[in-house]
Amino acid sequence: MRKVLNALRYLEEGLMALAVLCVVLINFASIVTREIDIGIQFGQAQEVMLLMFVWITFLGIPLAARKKSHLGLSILTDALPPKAKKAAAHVKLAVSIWFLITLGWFGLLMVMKEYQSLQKTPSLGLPLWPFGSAIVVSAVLTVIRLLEVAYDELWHKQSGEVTQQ
Amino acid sequence: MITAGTIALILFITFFVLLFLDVPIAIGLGASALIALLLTGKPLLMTAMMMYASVEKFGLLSIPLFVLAGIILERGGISDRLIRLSSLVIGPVWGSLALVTVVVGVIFAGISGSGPADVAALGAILIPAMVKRGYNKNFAAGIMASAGSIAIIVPPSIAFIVYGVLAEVSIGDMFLAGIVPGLLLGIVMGVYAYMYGKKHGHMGDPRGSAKEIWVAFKDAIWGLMAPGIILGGIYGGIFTPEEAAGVVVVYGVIVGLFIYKTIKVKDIWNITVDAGISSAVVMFVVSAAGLFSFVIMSQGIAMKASQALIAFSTNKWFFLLAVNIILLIAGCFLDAISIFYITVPIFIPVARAMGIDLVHFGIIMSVNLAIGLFTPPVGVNLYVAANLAKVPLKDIIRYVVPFIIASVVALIIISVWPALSLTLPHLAH
Repeated sequence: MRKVLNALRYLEEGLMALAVLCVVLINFASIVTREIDIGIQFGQAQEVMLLMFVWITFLGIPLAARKKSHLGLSILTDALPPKAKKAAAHVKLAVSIWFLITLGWFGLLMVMKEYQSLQKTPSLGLPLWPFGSAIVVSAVLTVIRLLEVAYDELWHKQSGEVTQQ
Repeated sequence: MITAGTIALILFITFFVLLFLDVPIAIGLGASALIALLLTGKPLLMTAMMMYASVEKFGLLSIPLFVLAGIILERGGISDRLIRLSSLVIGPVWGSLALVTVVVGVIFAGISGSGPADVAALGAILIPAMVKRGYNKNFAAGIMASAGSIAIIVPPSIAFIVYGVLAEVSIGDMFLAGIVPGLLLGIVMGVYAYMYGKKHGHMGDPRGSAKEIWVAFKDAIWGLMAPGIILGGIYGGIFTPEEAAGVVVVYGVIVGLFIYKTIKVKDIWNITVDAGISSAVVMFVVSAAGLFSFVIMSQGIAMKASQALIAFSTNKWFFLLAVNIILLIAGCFLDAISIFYITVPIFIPVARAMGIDLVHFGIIMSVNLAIGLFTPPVGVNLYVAANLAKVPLKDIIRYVVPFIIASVVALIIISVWPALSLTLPHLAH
């Protein structure tokens, strides 16, 4: 299981980093080709960069969830006694998963609509569904990462404490 | 039919309950908006559509790139070179190293656009250096947290990019308008740093010889040039603010790989992954805050709040005072991006009605949010600085209070004197 999760993480990181590098290169190429005429123009590439940007964002969200980097306010929960703290952590997990599953589900409906109606981007005529899919993939992966973190820190740690006692 | 008032109440109460339960801000914003949508019977498809649409904006594309540029230049060793140069130039004055912290904070702000990133990059070197020179550890962390907040006022700034997209004002104008207010913040913080240094007898080393300064300058010039490239390129008409970020990334890679030789090709991969993740943290908030903001607007909550503000008083100064107080309080609990999304739809129509320039207004809002970065209980800069100094956050608080007061003085000057912000963008047009 852990191996699958790690392999998945490398895949996510790889795709995300690739997308970032693509944006950097396209961006640079579009400036250069505008200033120096070499017969190729990258000005139309904005939509491709936007596609990359959407994927950078939505692939980064689960990766940040795994690193627990998402901004939150822990001053109150930090002050709680251990039991209440754990209860709060479970509420936090439940709310997060409920929201992400809803988001993923309606994201899927959105993408299916985009796919069926053959919606396209205005300038290059790229199909819209590869853009929207990022949100569905992101929601699913983030749920997986939250469960992974919860397993390590909430459930596994607890069993560890029990055996110590 | 549930009234807008009830929806607003449920929306904000749910959000704050989730916030205090340590639910990530993005999820708290999204989940409370989702509950409000459920209550109003609006199609829930809007959840996905608005969260997607808030991200897919060309203006925001520069966020991952500016984050990447900041990380590349920092890992390339720009920060210690800037620190060395500033120490040699500032030399034997009271509070010298504290002044170096402020000066480098301002210069580094011209490269990076995120407060906590600046604190992390510079604090790792400056906090131990100050402690070594006998400064109180908590003061060292406090001044670093404060000076790091200037990052979002001196261009490039993630806050300006988000405000520009939301309020539909030119990001280029915002960048220019932030320069003088950013310097002013640096000056007021520097004045206090000097006073503190004098009171506690912290004297700097002798000034470097002309030759030493020249060598350090030549070494640091590549870092000093980055802000010049960003602003020169934008206002020289070579590239847009969106494109500037990508140019600095390429510049940073060249400097790191070939000039300083501090970065290896294989490092670029990890740096890129780190930048992608940091940018996603910001963008997740943008995405969910976009949904939250949609609920506020579509339910007429924003409009009602704006009308209430105007009905209360049509005096411009009263409005600005109210905005400053609201934002300073909000900044204690929330990050800048969420605050922008929640308050811009409410404030902008009022600011427009009162004839306040929206660029000037954006600077006022951003300075408030910069102060929020180091205001307890939840200034993110404080967390980063406390971590670096390995001191409890509560011990730093006493030492940031003078910086908060100094910054509020700067905020008042910036608020009542629009020309301070607007002269540079006007000159550029």
